[in-house]
Amino acid sequence: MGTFIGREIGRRYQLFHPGAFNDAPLARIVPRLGGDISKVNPLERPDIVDPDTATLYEIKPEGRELDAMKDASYYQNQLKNAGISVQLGPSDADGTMGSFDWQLYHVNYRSNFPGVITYSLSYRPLAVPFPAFGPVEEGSAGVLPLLEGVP
Amino acid sequence: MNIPSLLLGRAGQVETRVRKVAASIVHANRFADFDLGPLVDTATVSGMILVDQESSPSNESHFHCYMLSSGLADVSPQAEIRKNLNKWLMGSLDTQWRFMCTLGGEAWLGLDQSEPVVARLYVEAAIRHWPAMKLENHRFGPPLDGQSDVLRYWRTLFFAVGKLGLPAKERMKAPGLEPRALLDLVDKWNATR
Repeated sequence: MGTFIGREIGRRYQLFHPGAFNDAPLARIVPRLGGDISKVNPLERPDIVDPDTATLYEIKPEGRELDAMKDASYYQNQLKNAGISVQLGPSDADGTMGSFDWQLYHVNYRSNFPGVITYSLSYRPLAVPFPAFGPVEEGSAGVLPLLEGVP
Repeated sequence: MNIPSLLLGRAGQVETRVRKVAASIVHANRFADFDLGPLVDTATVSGMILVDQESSPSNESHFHCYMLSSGLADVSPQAEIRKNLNKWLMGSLDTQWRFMCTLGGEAWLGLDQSEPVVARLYVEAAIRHWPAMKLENHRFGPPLDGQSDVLRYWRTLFFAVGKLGLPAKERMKAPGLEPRALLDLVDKWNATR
């Protein structure tokens, strides 16, 4: 669930910042930014790295802001080790706030701290098809015929 | 719609194949007339036509069309990325399967240093391809909440209309607009300024 929501938020961020990497491995990000890949774990994947603004974000569920901050700082340091300087992304950047519906949930996301985007889930009412009532004739679809001999 | 079978498969499989072919395209400097091998009719196989990576990793086969632009960008020398992607993008406007590979990924880089007139060529190509794409709109992914709509994440088109002067915030106020309507919005916006 976390990957799905994180990538969806990342895609929405990319509509404002097309150059941003969305859940891409450092193996792709670091060489593209001219860094030294030997200094980092190439398989690790920061949530959003935006080379155009030299910023990054970590995405977590609401209530895990501290984890997101730690991860964001961790990736900031990883990229620094590779020779790439990025800052924690500003909370008011375009694409860091919004909402969408997914399965049983309404997903709201926003950034309250630099480099951190959090999301919350709330149940949403789903439209359930309900049979329409009205005048029906015996023998029409959905109406059982009366059996002879049944009182 | 016909798409090279090379792009059909699981993400990891396709990535390996695409990286190899991207390297040979860049090496040969043949961005407009390269061949990706046999085509497969999307009507004869299941799987989505992906504009971006899957929302969560899966073992299902899809058409990973977005990977070509990312592959070309990855294997190009740093200073040549935008130039190479521009050559590739401009050579991809007429043929349907080539155009399908320009919808997402990093194809936008091909327009990044171009004049607005080039971005307009892209939007006009989108208008030409849209009737066929609209018929297959339910196949484009990744879907959100079971709904497919290529207009949600057609990043290259959005970037192109941005190059033509329409700010992102204005564009986001009108989600789901078809390419023709987007171009009309651009022209209306520019006329009022």
